[in-house]
Amino acid sequence: MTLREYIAFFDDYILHLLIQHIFLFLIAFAAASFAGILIGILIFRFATMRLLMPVINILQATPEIVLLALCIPFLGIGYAGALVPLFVKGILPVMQNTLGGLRNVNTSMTEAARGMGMSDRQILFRVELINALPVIIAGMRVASVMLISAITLTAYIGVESLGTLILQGIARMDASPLLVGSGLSALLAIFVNQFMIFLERAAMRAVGTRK
Amino acid sequence: MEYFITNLDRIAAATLRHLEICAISLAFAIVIGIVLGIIAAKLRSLAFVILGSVSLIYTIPTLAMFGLMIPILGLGTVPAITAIVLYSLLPVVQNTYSGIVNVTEETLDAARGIGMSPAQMLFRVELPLATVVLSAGIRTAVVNAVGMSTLASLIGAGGLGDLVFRGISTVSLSVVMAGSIPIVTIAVLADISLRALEKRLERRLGQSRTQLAT
Repeated sequence: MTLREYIAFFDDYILHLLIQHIFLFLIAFAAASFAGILIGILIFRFATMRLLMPVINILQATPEIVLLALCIPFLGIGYAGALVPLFVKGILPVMQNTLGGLRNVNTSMTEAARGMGMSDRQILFRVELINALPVIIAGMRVASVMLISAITLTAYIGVESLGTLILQGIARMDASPLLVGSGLSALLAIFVNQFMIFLERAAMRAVGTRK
Repeated sequence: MEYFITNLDRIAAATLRHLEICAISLAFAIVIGIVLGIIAAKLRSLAFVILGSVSLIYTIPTLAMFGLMIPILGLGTVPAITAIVLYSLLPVVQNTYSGIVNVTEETLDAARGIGMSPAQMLFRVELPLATVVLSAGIRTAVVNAVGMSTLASLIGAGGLGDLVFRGISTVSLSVVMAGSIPIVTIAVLADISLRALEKRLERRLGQSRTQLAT
């Protein structure tokens, strides 16, 4: 079957897989961004939270496919087994950049805020987080690209995504599904990456920082 | 545990294979990446093209990259290594570039003032000052490559991924563990030792920076 025939014949299925891929991405990305920012703030504010760092570093070094495989006995195959490990991997870059962004906020700015009588909480939400926003978004961008890539791997644990096509292509040595699956997932990643770069620049302009 | 003991030779062979794939890929990626980084930093007109294309490549999902290699290069070691090299370029190129570009104008003026040629400035001033940033890029590339090599098994290049994928398809935790434990150990050890190296370089050059995800 040529590539064009393949696409014409399986168009519904391809669309279904693309939607499924985006759906898995949005869930994992939203949850990971929220948790990443929260954990970043906690580590920034409470020194004892730094005890988590070795665990975080080990998780960071663990490849996505390994984490997915290791979770099978505990979470089974299916949505939970796919989403929980992806969520965990997605947290790391967001957390790392939230922490880095908060630490890089100019102390003269926080002191000025304190001088104006702002409470710690007000300083966090109105000064520190706002100023760290471009860096936090950069972390979310790293997470988003990583997640779109990692979601192709969920095909190996029985959750459909564009990876299913790649898997079929490899198993049957058929270039058509391979090209469709690889091409669409690559385009999706490139699109999301560009969108996040756009958000990052908008945040930079809003905060008035330059790279 | 039993699986570990009875299959020790198989695990050892897969580990060696895994390390081999990583080492060859990284050697290529580091050399090509540093050269491209220098070119981008020196010829600003090419910087956009070089940095743009390596980051575009980096955005392509890993599995898709391996998949795309099959129609082009077929199965086996060569396509696997090509995919890993392509993917490892970004952190090396980007960090070489920003390491060189961030050398201050005063430093360069001083070098020029004592009569250094552009080549001498590059090798004796700019590259040495870029080593901290560069080593952070290399660390990212190394940790990524250890992970990516797991997927090399899918296109027939072998390595510890063989065990991980066999474990997944037979739903056998011990086989998955036999592949995963060495992978994570290699990645963590590489990360820790390269971080230590960075710290030493930082102290020697008196630079320090906050770690961000790139």
